[in-house]
Amino acid sequence: MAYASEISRRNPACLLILVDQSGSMNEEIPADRTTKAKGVADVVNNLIAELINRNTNGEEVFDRFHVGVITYGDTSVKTPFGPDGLAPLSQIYEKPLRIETRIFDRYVGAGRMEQEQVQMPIWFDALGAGRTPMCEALGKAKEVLTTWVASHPSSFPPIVVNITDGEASDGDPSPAMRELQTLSTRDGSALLFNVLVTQKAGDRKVAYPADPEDMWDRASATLFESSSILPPALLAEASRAIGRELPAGARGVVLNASLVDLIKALEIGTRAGNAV
Amino acid sequence: MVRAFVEPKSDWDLAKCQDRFAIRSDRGILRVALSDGATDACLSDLWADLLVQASTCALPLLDIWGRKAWLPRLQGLASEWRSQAEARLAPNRSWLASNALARGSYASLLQLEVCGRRWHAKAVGDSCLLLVRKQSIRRSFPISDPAAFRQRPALLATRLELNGKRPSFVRQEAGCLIPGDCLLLASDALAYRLLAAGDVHELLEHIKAPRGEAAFRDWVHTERRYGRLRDDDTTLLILEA
Repeated sequence: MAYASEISRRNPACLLILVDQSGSMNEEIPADRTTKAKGVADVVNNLIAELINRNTNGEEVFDRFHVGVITYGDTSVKTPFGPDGLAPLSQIYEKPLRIETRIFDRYVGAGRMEQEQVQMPIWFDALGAGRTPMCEALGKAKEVLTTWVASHPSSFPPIVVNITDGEASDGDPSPAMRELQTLSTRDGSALLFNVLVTQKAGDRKVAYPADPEDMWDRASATLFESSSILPPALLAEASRAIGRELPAGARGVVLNASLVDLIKALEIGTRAGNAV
Repeated sequence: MVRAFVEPKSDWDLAKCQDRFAIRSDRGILRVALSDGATDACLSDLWADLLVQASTCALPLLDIWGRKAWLPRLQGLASEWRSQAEARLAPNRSWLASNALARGSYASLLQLEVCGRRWHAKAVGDSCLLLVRKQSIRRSFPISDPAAFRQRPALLATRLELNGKRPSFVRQEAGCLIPGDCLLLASDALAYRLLAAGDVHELLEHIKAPRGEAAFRDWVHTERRYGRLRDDDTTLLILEA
């Protein structure tokens, strides 16, 4: 049975996140009172911190995941976690850019809220400038994952999450997206999620569709066709995340996603397999 | 007499094993407890250790479930865990240690009392008691269906508000032993393996003295290699009537 490998330190899983940092990401998300760039950077930084929190006993970080971020914008593609593109959690934990102290409101019961100071590690900064070299980023992702699958043949297949707010400016990304999904371990092919981050209230959201008839233009159809069909394990996680049963054939794509939808999509990627 | 066998996860030494057990005999009553600390919880080996010690004393922990004394007793254990955890994490002042302490710890707990031929067991979570009679599994508690191991079990938490309040949070079972019976206490990965196979005879034959512990280690490694046993801390306690 495919997509059944246990995630462990011996056979770690791989999560690679592609982040659009083009100029349009500076636009505000009115509902969240932040820009798309800042909102996405916060979500991804938090996800990495949470992944580390879930893979530690307080003394030691367990390398059950290798994580990478590839940013693309301003005509360049960057890998904040080093030239290999991926790093084990313990190495990521050791090297944040900085630790910020943020204040959150926390509900403490009986109708009361309290302010709580939380330390938040930052691994990459929000940026929004230039065009959208998505094809180049996908090419870099293929390079990174080709090496990784060769070194981890028994691991759960890599999960790639591409976060964007628009179309590629360097060509049609579909061939590059399909090529990524030809990479595989013994447990199955790499899985690609596409998350299109919304910019205004009222945009129609589509989460994990199975029917191409739900798409409304060429761009959305491209993302639908290029996203992976969710295997049973991830289908179950996605159904749990969005609170409704998804049909077989549902794809890993969310169109006009809010930041909450983005968080859920990334969480699904980290809960695949049975991490020990 | 109780025989104990422990094999930690691969790439993990015995000191890091998060399974803990305790065995105490007092005035004709044998008390045995097994606790499996959650892998991604904070210092769950400490929590599991406190739970098994509290489950094998004169007033075992799960015996007071549902009574007024339950919450204060659990609170005392959680405070003790917190003190020990803070001391152990003191050299590490990172955001990770602070977050881990705040998240707390979790563990299963299986508590067994044997007096004469009568046995009485209580459990939270998925560490299991198997009654073996004439080389076959006659009863399994609290889980008897291998499919139930895939669900996320209720566990005992240091964060008191996360512990269950319904009567079903702590399960109970009792029985009578006849000569030749065997009671096995097994952490979840092993319990699942034995129930799914429906057979314990092969394992019990394999680990007979004198090679006992080494034979258990070999058996566990072989089962893991062939994917028949999940790579998790594996503990087996055997009590023969």
